[in-house]
Amino acid sequence: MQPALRQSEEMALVVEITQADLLPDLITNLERSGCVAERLAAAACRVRDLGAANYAEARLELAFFVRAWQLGHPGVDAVISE
Amino acid sequence: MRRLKVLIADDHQLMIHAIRLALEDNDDIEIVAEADSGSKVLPLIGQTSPDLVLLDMRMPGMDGLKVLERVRERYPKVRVAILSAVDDPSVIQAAFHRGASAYIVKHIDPRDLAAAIRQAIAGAVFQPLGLIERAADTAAREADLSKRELTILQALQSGRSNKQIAGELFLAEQTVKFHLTNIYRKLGVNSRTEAVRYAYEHGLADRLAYEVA
Repeated sequence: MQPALRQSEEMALVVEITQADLLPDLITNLERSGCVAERLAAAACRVRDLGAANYAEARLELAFFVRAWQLGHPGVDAVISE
Repeated sequence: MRRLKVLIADDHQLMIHAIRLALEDNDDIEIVAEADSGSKVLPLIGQTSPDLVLLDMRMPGMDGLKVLERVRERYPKVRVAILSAVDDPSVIQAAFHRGASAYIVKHIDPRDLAAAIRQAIAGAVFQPLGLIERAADTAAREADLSKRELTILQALQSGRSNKQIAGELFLAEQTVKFHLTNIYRKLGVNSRTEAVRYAYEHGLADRLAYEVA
């Protein structure tokens, strides 16, 4: 396996949202996008396989995705962390 | 009403899905095709006749600039808007030089994406959306501010609360407070009002957007 690919696959970010009941919907949407998303806590999930070249790009694209998802769920706040 | 036809070219499904989510409530915009590599773009244009290609810069098969060149040669009426994580000014300049109608950085608020697409199709060529101004970058370097600190300082100028800034940047409120403390220290100021005034006076912000004491 190429080092860059391994790094991409191992890269993970955590998304925490303010409405726990919407976490399954967020996870489903992330999985439809080819990511692996696993529940970490009632309102948080870890997202892997983002396909990005580095953490900065992964965070940027995940943030864009979460913002777009929030459009359909107004009032939900989110925090992304490593 | 004629719908605006958009082809999305991005090798990341996450971005394609996000763009779909961002555009789904805009009835005047229709996504007619998706390409996950640069080499698929030209055949898909031939099959679907889009008004605009929303093109990522980094793609397997053929990179974004090369795709842009080929599209402009073979389909000069099709507009191309770049949507990219790359904010290198030389790359942005190269894209405009090759005929891009817009350059949108992935920092953009998804709510603004539809408007950017409409403007690009209407023929308005515009400068990077979602990109921090270079002048501000230079001023930030001089003040020893990190990119994150500059973003937070610029958010302050519109009068946003710590909670609002945290929400927009996907940070914890405590993290925003931490950055603000560092910003105040680096700028030698004691309050957000003073920080906003400093930003305005030193080219870190383009306007004095709310009343300062």
